[in-house]
Amino acid sequence: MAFKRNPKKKTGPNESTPLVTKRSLFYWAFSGNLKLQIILLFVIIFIVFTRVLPLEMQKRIVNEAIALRDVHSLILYCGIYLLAVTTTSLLKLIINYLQALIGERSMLAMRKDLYHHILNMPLGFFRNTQPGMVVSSLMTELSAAGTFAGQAFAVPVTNVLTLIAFAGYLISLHSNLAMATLLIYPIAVFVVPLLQKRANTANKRRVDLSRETSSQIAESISGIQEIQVHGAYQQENSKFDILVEKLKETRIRWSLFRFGIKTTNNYFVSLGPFIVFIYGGYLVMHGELALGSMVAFLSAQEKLYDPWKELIAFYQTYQDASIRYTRTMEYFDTPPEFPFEISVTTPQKLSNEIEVNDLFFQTSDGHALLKGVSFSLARGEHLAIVGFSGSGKSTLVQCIGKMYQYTGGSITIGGREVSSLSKTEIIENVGYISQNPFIFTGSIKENLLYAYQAMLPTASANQQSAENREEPDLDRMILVLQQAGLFVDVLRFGLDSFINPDDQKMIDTIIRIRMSFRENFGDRMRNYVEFFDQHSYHLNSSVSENIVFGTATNKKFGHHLLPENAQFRNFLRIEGLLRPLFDLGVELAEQAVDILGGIDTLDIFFEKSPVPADRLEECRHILNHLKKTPPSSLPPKEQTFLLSLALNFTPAIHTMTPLREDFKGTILSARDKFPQWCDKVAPGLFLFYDEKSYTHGQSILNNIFFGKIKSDLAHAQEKINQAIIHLLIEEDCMEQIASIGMHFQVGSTGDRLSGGQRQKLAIARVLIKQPGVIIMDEATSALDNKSQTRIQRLIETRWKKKRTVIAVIHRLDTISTFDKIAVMKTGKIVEWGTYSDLIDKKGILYELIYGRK
Amino acid sequence: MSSFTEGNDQVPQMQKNLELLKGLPFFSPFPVQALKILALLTTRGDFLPGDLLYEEGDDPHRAYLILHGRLALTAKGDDNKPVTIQQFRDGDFLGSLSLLGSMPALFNLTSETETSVLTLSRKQFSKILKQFPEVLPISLAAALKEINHWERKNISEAASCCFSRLGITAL
Repeated sequence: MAFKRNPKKKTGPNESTPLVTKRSLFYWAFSGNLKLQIILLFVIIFIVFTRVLPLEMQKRIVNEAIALRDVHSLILYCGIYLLAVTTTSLLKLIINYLQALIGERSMLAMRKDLYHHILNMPLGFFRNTQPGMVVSSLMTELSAAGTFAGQAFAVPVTNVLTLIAFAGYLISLHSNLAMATLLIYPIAVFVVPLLQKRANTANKRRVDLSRETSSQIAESISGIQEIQVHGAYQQENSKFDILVEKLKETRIRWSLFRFGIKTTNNYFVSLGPFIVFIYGGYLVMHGELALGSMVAFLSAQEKLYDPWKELIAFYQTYQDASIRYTRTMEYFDTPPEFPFEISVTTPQKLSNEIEVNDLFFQTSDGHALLKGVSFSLARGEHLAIVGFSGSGKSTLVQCIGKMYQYTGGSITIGGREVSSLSKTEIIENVGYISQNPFIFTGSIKENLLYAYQAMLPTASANQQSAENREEPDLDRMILVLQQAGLFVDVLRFGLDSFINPDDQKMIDTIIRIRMSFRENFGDRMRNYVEFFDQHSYHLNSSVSENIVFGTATNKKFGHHLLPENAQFRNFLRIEGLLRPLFDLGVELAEQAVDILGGIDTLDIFFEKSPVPADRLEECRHILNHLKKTPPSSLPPKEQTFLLSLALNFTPAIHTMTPLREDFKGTILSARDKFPQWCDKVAPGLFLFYDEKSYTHGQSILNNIFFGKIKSDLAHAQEKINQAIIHLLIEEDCMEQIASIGMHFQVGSTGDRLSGGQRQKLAIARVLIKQPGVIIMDEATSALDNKSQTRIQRLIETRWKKKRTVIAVIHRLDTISTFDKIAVMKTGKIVEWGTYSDLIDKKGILYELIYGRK
Repeated sequence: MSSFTEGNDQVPQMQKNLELLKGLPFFSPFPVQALKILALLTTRGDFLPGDLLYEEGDDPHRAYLILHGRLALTAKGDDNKPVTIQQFRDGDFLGSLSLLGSMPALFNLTSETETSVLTLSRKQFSKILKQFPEVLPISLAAALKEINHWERKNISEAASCCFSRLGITAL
């Protein structure tokens, strides 16, 4: 038979399991699922029996019960028939469930193991691998393999056994007739694999093409900015078109062969009844076969078809799955360069002197990036590496950090060869800060502790949930944030957060800070902060905030819901505001359409628009409508929309429309009457701004101000920060605010942080693990002057003689404080010495700094 | 002093910004819709005497139009004392090159009096360039003209000792 039946479990070499990519597809079906498979086997044997039973009953019903007119036997045989059919269905359900269970378990194991393997693969692999490709491999291609793993045992065993049982039964009925009908199957067995072979070729190509196509999609999406900037739609489209065209053709070929197999098979099988009729009919006519036997024969012949069909389908699934599986596994079949072993004990701290001797590094395609680099650093010495791009600076430090395996020479840290150190030991002793650090989705704190927690013994990191993992104390985290220059930012995140409404102590503190802020900084901050004042219009607040001048205690009365709130609209009508607000809404819509109509919906353009980008079209529609008919004829939904535009109007932001004096007056008088109205409707519905009480629903910072910030310009922010920090220290609650700020969510890949903030966070996350060796690969390139100086000072004053530093540096004005300078060119160190030596020498470094003379 | 109180009469703030931008040679040739959006995006800022707008080594990434007040460009002279290189007054526009691309500042910019400015960031300007590609050649032409003008002025004013420092337009 062409398909594998009774697949044997492939066991790994002795104790250790083979590398995930080397395992056979059948490994997954059996490893860890052995018990389930045995249960399955018993169910299958049982089901084969219950499948054959009805056939025998059929024969007996016709031959014995009906022919002999024996009602008693008829009922008995029919009863057995019914029972057998019912049991078969039930068992079939159980088999399907077990199959699904095994399938899902195998897929889970496959995905987990392969994912763990991929994370450990050498960095070089990812240079030419698109994330999309990995995604589709793990999610799509492996799912076919998973489905197959569920069937791997059950389907062939069930169907082969059923087939044998039916065949045996047929032979027992009439051996010659049985032989004649069974003759068809060997022919099918010969033809089907021929077709399958061609289908496989097409399928292999399809898997490769799919992978290529997903890579292409992933690449264009990642590079979408370049594509749009350069208008390179044509190129990208044609690249994509060629691939999907090819994919289409291959898929058609593949489908053709697949359906070819099905049809061929169906054809052969449908010849069965033909033989039974012609040969069996002849036998019945000659009295060599009872009519009942022929009926049973016909049924059995029909039933043979089902297991056969399933076997063919299984054969196809197997071929498809194994192709997808092997193609996927082959792709990832690179062993990890530095396997990450699980350590239970804390690895030891190494002494931090570094020796590099005649170091060579060659890429897999033969480029020599390092050609014999040698140097040595004493404990706590600081080295700056400078040089032209492509001179091997980054490669050198990455070899020292064991991110790449060097191909010749040696590197020792504390006297131990780096290649013999385990990954865990490297992680414990070397901190690496890259030029473009990656920040993970989560809070500042989670990112800060990312490297620290990875360093903890694996057992404790896995078992405990994220919250109660061991973490350094708050003071230490704050110190590190300060050293990296991120502390003020974190403080700001904290100030922009909301307070826990039950924290009365904190609330009292904030109110005290508010008082002393007003007293000590009120005048000086008037340029930057607009304070709340019951008697004047607040330009940085919306119209509805200006009317309510407080926050709702009931969510139904939130500002965004007020436009559709009938009670609130009624209040506006009484105050004579409804009509002017509609007019304002129309004016805002007109302005927005005039200025921003026809513009791409770039967020930045709409930051100051009263109309969100996705509703501009609606505005245009309403304005057209208003040209012909009065506002009162607008549908209620659109009236509400206009009202919402007006209520959201904030003069300081939406500068396209003026705030008219008379309108301002009406709003202020409405503000005065609002509390009375509110008392009538529902007392306590709103908490009004009050200088003596905390406003929930406003950030901590706005609560300190009792107002809102006016300017987003850097110098204003800085002055505000200085004032606030001063007050926080006075009230001794800076740590608390910082700890709130550390829970700030940085967004996906840290996109809510600026480039500088991301880099500072990356520096902080290395600082907190206190490694003896710190490698900085242009680690301060995204920082502004001040922050860079701060880091520089940190390196100089806190790390000298303690931590060994190797820094790749692009800004030459910062290297004078390093103990040693290495100038690199084409994979070699061409100058080595102290800063003053090299400057006196007037060699390459001198040239780099002062230009060619 | 508040910049917003001026916005309380009938002319919208943005309209005023638009008039100011139209009056600047750098912006005046821009398409009207681009100018309108620029007028919408620009912000007003107030500085107190001694406020630092940017310092040497920073990327200034902003252009400023002085509405009233005085800004001074200073450099570190001997003994690290600041030496004033130039002063900018009401109506002066500075930083157009900063809008076009990133470069570390070679000077400090500080406010000498209470100063009020209209300011635009490179981030905002680059979005305008993206939306209105025709703006780029216009702004480059304006920048070149500015540099040319600057050197022409120096040729006629600089003493002969400093001639060796000239020639930027030939680079």
